Amino acid sequence: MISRILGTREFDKDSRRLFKNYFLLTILMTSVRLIADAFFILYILDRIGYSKTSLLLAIRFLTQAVIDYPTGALGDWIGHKRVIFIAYISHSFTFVLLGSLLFFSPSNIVIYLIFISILQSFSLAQESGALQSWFDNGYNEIAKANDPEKEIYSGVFGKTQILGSVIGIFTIMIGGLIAEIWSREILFLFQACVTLFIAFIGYRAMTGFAEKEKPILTLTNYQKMLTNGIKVAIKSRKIFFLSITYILITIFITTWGALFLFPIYFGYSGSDQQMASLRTVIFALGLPISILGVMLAKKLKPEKWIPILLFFFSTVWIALYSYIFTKYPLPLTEAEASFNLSAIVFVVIAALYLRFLAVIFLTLYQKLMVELIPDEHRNSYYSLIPTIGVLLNA
Amino acid sequence: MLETLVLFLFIPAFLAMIFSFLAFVNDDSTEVESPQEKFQSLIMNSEQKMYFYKKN
Repeated sequence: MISRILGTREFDKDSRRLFKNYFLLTILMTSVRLIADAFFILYILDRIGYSKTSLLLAIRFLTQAVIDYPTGALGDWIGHKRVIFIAYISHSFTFVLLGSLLFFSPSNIVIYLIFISILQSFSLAQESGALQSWFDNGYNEIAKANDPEKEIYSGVFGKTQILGSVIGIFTIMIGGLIAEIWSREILFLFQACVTLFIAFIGYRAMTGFAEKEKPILTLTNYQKMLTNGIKVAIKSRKIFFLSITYILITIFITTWGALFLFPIYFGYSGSDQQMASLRTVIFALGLPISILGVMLAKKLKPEKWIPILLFFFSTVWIALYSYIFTKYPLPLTEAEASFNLSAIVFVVIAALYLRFLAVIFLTLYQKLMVELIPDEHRNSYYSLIPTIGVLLNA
Repeated sequence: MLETLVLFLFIPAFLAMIFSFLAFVNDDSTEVESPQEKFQSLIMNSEQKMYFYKKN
């Protein structure tokens, strides 16, 4: 059934298993992360207020940025399944600590929550890029020969991302339901149990191909792995420029999502409720558009299409927004915001256009990376580039 | 004000296009090869040539 969805029925048993495990693990892990994440922030806000929460978030962000790359290199060294196991065990422990606040009250709650945030950053940094690295290495080892044009690879990558985001929404709803019926602490304990389960499932499922021999565990070898990981990003001209391209696109998308998206949506929809409906419409229409993007990306050659795609990405999208802003100026204050159907139609078109191109770009980029990045430094590279993007964005 | 800032997003998007173009223009390398790997592939090539030479 899953092999039919992924289009891997013609593959041998090991390759089918690899694709299936990657697909199921990605969806499980994405969903599990989302069950209680929103309530984690809300809970901290309730307990310690806005100013201390922002300090806590800053510590969390900084810790993750600092340790993301070293833990990525650790993944290349001790193996991805071990790193994911450690990540999920520490994630589970984080939520046990949060849930146990139901039974006791620490003398200094802020210090207690800072410790929890650091532990969670550690878990996130460990996990980042590890599953994708495991899959890409396995793909190169056992499945690449059956998929020379990487059509199946691109299809599975895209389908996994899309389905992960859809199922993620349902798990957020389940989380909301548990918090509503019982309490947030019970939700955190539930999250801890599920995460622990996933840690063992992941450890069991991430097998099926022989990983390349690793250097023996010494500090000098680890330092070498750290420097070699950076060398990968700068040694080849192609990888270097592609990394900069990816970082710039990350900056574009993050800045757009974090700073501009909501004021613009609110300005043209007029109220919170209408803005929520607008987001739902865009999300619903975005699904078929994303599937179309993945299907198209399967057939395209990255070398030819990435520059063309980015040309249309930069010019048409900006032209579209220049038109929207000239024709329908944004209200200066929240009180002046009112529902504007014509502007909303253009905003929806621009959002779908952006989503369509972003899906194709990410699929093509991943298609290139599986080929270009050496297996022994994959996790380091997959952790390094998004970290640089996030740091520059900050 | 917000409109102007949004239009500034053109800069990273446009630069991304330029860098992606630079990544592929006149580039014949497909992967990162260490000197040992290069040497190994050279030996492999010469062995293959020898094989076809002997075969024909």
